[in-house]
Amino acid sequence: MSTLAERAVARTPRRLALRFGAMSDRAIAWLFITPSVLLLLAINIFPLLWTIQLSFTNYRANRPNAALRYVGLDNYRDILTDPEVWHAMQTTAHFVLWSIALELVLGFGLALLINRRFRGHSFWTTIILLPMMLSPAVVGNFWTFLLQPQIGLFNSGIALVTGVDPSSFQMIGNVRLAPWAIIMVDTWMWTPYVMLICLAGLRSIPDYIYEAAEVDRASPLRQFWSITLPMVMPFLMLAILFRAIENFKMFDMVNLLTSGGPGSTTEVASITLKREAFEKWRTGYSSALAIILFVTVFGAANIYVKALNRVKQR
Amino acid sequence: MNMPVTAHSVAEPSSRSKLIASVLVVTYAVITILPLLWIFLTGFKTPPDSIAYPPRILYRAFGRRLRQPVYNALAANAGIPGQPAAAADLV
Repeated sequence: MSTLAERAVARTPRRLALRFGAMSDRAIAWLFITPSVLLLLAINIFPLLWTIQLSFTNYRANRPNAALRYVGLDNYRDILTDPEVWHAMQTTAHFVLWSIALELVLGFGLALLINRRFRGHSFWTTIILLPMMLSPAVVGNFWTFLLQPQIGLFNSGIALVTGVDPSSFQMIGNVRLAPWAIIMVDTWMWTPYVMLICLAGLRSIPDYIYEAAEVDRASPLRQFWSITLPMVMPFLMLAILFRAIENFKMFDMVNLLTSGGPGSTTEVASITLKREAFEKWRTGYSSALAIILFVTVFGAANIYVKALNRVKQR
Repeated sequence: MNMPVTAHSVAEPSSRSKLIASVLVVTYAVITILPLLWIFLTGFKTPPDSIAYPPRILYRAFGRRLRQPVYNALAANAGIPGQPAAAADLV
């Protein structure tokens, strides 16, 4: 009886067998992965190296024929001493922290409730997941419409509940409310994602642990603190990591909702980057800013992953 | 008579806790789906209705939107003899 490999060899056309027969397995493996590696180098690594090189120059993309001058670390120094960049970083931190906190509380809470497996829970889970399935560009566009002070649904809803005049406040035009508007929309869109990760964590806890706790007469609160939370913690940390990376570089939704306004109250780091690169045309400067943002996210994510591994090993 | 034997876990949530969980989840789901539903309904409204103040809900706009081409065609045919009905829809 022949093995699967022998049957495969027997069925290989003679022309192909002659061509690849002399090659080692390693050479054939390289032959298969080379196109993917080349594509990766062309669309990922080359732009990164090009950006790093541009970050040390005074290059401006709207003046391609101007003399290129290497300015050393000047762009990096200018960025780190620029109050506008620090303001953008603060705005980003505010957005990231609050949106993640809200998504975590709501997502984990919903996962705990759905894990009770009441009748119809699958249907309602699907309904809750719908916002996550939309494109951020679509979400940004329709929330801009919904948050309009007079014609929007949001203000009318608030007016219905509180009795205030719907045109008396603006969510995306008000300095105080605009940062909360983008946090609210992000939370609306991404809470289901956190919920899904938490639900996976909750479903992975075997029932017999709770049964043992019941036998030991542990209270529900005790079970939550001693069983549920420690066992879901790696999943929670993973959700925080994914959302933090995504929100740190959030651009499309914020750009469509507020474009960084009013003034610069919602100008997150990616909006500053876009303004420097495509409004002020400071390509070298914006390349340096992009590299700083990349290093920040990469460094923070690495530290976080190490912490996550420690939690998993406990 | 044989009674069906099912395994019962002491960790199984009580029916009261299931009821509370279902009410909370359904409330969240309804609140979260409202904006999507509103945008979906806006797709059936006429342009003036979709930006009306105060915002208008479906039925009125839906009916008007469906009937509008018929009214336009009837009006065009009644007012200008010989004019094709389809052209009136562009008005």
